Amino acid sequence: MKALVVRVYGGLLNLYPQSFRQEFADEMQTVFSMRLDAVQGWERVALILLEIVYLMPNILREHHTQRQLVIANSGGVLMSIFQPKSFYRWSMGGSIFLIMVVVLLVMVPFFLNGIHQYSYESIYNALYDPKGFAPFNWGGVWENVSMIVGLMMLSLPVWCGVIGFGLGVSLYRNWQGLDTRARQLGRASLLLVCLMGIIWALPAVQTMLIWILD
Amino acid sequence: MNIQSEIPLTEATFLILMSLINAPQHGYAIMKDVEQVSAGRVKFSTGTLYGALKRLLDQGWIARFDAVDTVETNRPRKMYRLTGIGEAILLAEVDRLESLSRLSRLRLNENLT
Repeated sequence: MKALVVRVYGGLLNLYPQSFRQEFADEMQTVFSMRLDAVQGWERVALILLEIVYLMPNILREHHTQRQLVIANSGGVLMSIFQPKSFYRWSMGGSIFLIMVVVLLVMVPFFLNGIHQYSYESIYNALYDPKGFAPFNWGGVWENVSMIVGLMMLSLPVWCGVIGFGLGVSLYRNWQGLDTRARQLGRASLLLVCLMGIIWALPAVQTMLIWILD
Repeated sequence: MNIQSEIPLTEATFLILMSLINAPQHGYAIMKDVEQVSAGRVKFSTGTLYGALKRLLDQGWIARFDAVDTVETNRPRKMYRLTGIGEAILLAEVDRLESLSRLSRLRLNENLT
């Protein structure tokens, strides 16, 4: 488990500017691993979350610093191309866009279910018991799986911001032709979103079928 | 270089420079030292620490070199040490804090008597 977390952290370090990454990424990964060794249980979970949360503003700051350096070295000639705001627009935009898409995706079956039952209380109830809610109630041996999927879906808007951020950064960096490694990360993020979409589609189709056939 | 224009230092910078006074340290040791001297009040995330270290390296206040960590991992590590400029800046900051502290104590004593 620890190895996986360290690998994920190492993957996130790819979001740093290339120069910073080449200089510090290996060292940061080692230090992160040593920090994980030093704590146990919930303290370890808290450490992982805090490290990831603090990574985002630090990545932004390093990109901003690098961009300012490029602008300064160009003597202002590149000012029109390398607007620092573009970076923030793309990264934050990616994050907000994905959150909005996911919120809409999560909400649609709730509303469909609401129409089906003539009661919008189901949306409220689903937040507390996804298993008892039609899109996530697959019954039988799938009961526990549907519970996990339900909880994953309900929490999507929270952690999709992070994926969207990565996606935005990757798109921006690809667009600027700055980094080829970011392309892989962009593809991985897209794949993850597609996978979540497929998982989501199953109960959504079920709900729609119930609604249509009823 | 005008040292006076570089101070006051941020607390993070001050603590990092302070942890390098006695001997060169690697990143993790700096992190632990800062936590210890601040009695657990200042805890750097790995990203924050390395962001700060990069800026200090760029400014030439600290220097980096390869060495084997004989204390913990017995593996080659990147070590950080204070440069002459870094030491001068830290000294100027300590002087500034000392004079402020002395003055504050004097006024407090006057107030009490």
